[in-house]
Amino acid sequence: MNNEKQVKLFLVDDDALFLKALELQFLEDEHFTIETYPTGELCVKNLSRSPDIIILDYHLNGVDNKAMTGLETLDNITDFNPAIPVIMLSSQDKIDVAIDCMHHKAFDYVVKSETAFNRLQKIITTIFRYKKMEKALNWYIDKM
Amino acid sequence: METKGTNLFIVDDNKLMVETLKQYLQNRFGASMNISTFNDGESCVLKVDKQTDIVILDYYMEGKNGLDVLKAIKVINPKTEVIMLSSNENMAVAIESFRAGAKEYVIKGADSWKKIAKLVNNVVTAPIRLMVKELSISKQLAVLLMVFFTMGIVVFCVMQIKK
Repeated sequence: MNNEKQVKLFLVDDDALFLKALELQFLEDEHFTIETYPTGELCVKNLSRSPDIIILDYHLNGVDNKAMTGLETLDNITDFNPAIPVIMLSSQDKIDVAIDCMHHKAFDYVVKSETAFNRLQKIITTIFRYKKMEKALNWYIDKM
Repeated sequence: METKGTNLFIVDDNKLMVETLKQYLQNRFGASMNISTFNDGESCVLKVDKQTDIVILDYYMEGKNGLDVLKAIKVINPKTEVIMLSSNENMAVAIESFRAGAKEYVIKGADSWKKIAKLVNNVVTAPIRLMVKELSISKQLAVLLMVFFTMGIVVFCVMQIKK
């Protein structure tokens, strides 16, 4: 995990109860600062607040069917800054949905379940390991 | 390795499956498709080079698994398009494959060959689609330009050989 500064997480889900539960679980770790958004539109509007990682629900139009979907939000995020890792969250365990998310440049796909929070923690650790490797690689390339 | 046309590799430890898929793609794309087959990842990696356009790669193989082979291919030639084939719906493997640079993850089944043929066609026609998009020209004109460009290269090569 990043020891120097706190990790800013955006949590985006139209399920208020799940969103709050996830926020509380992440807040137990002092490494995280959390911003929660109930819609994709609000998440996209606040991208200038520089999130390190975004955890995004796949079905964001469950409450309002005219609202931006998870994939539309993901496309907007990657258009804004393709370097922001986005982890998709969904209640669907169909592989086709996961593949679709990967085609839209998600970093990973997690099925909502009892173990989802542990999976998210592991993925976040992986993201920072990748970032560290990328930084080291860039350092070597510069030196060469 | 072959240089003219599209160079495609099929890698699967099921020999019957490899030969039948080769026949299917050869019938579909004709002689312009140079198809090589391998029954393990190691021998495929030894033959991959800058001329390799597409690899159709099974995940479950003895020795190196498909994911390890995919990573090795991308080190040799990041431009090689790799289509992963799998006999089961392993979400973690699918995600890891995309992260390692796979173009698609196809589950073996009734319509998987049609899907593979469509993906191969997408890769083959990618330069035409790029020209249509970038130059805002019609598909017919893009095909004509491609033929003209290819003919130019062939004429140039022939002239060089004659010299």
